[in-house]
Amino acid sequence: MADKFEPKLVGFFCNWCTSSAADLAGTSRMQYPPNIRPIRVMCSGSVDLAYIWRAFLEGADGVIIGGCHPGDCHYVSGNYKARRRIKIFETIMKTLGLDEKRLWLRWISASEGKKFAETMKEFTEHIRELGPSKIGKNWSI
Amino acid sequence: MGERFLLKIKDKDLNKGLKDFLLQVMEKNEISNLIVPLLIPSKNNVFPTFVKNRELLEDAKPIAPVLPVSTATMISKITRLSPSPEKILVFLKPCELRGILELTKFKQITLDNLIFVSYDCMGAYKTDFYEEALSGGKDIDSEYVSKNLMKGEQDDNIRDACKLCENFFSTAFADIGIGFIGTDGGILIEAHTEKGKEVLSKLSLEKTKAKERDERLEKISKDRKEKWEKEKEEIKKEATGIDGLVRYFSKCIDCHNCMGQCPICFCKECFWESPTFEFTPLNFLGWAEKKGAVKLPTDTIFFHLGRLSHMSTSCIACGLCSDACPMDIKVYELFHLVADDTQAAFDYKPGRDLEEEAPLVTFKEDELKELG
Repeated sequence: MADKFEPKLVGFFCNWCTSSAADLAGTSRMQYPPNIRPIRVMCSGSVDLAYIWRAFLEGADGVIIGGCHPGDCHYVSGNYKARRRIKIFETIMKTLGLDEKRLWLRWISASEGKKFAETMKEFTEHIRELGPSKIGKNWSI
Repeated sequence: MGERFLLKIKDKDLNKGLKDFLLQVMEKNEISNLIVPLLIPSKNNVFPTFVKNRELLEDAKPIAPVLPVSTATMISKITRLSPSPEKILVFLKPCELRGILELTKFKQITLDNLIFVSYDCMGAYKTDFYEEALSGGKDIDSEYVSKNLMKGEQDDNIRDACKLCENFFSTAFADIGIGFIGTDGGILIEAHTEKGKEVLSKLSLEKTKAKERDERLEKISKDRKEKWEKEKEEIKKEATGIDGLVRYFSKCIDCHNCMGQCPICFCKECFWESPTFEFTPLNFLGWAEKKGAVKLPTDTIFFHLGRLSHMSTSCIACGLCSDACPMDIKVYELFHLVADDTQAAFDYKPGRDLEEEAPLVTFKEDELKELG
């Protein structure tokens, strides 16, 4: 058990695109690693940065946000706002030495089931290479 | 640069001289309300005070080197729900003015009928230090004027945040600025805005150029910036990685005082005070099971990281978070460090320009392509 590291990944996926893409990947019987724990949100713009911190502090090795392609947001501009927030999150991680590479933002539309499966594969491998995150191991946070 | 005038003060006491100037401004412009730092009746501290009765202005201490609270927060309490129906003249420090600018952007302050007067601030003392000096009968204000204000220097007891303040002079947002640095001798009065020009036009003042002023202000700013860049490296060494952060905030008792005093943290329904953080035994059992143990109170690092995410883009580096910390954690230093970077990411400077939108309330379609 101890020899193989299985990354714990949390995904915040927009209801209107990436969550549907996940469905499509599933109904199309596409294979992707089971490491991702998807959380359906109404918009990538509704993901408060506190949720992402919570995921990392509770032991996630990586967090991925999936939203609609720029210009395609169901609520017009939620994904642009999400992108700004992610920039802030990434900047804080970088400044405080918290390994910002563990956070990804990806645009995956409802029809891109294949892209969803591939992205999850890529992200899992990417985090596997980085190894376990230290953030969630500390019990005094 | 606005119009510059010389202010002649008969009295040697600067507080008194400035008070007389403010009274003159009020009289000539028919303003009957003033918010100014005032000695409280117990005579051992100074707070921003809304004054109607001019007799009470005998105890006005405009340049009192103390910052118990931010006047920005206080102005928000007054004008958040509706604009003031009467004109109010407000005398405050440059950092407080930056707070006002940010809070105005977030619709927490209505600017109508407010006229701001700010000055070259050489920093404040910690409130307990100042209170002790006043209790001991020391004329600390006069000492501060001669040792710090007039020389453009800072003594050792000045707050850490003030020692690193790069924006210590009244900015273009102040209707009227009062200068002590590079003034060709005497005190400089500057109208930065149209409102300020109109107010000053009713007074008979002698014009001046104060040619060396901008250069001297820039020099002080630059020196402090260099000092801060050095200090930044030290903090980075100390607070890097999750273990570094845990060490940095090891004394945190989750009191949220830093948030309470922060002029930028204005939310009435704060996430960190919400029922989200009311847990059941099962939550704690789960955490303890997963990690082996859970420190109580929990979520202290989470709180600071979350607050950084929510407010650091508008952090005006006033240092009130550090002052409010009962455990003397250097909250300000870490927040300033992160804020520098989050603000730079959007080329944003809080308190610079009212037209500049806060990073979290706007976006551009064509930006941050590297993220997606």
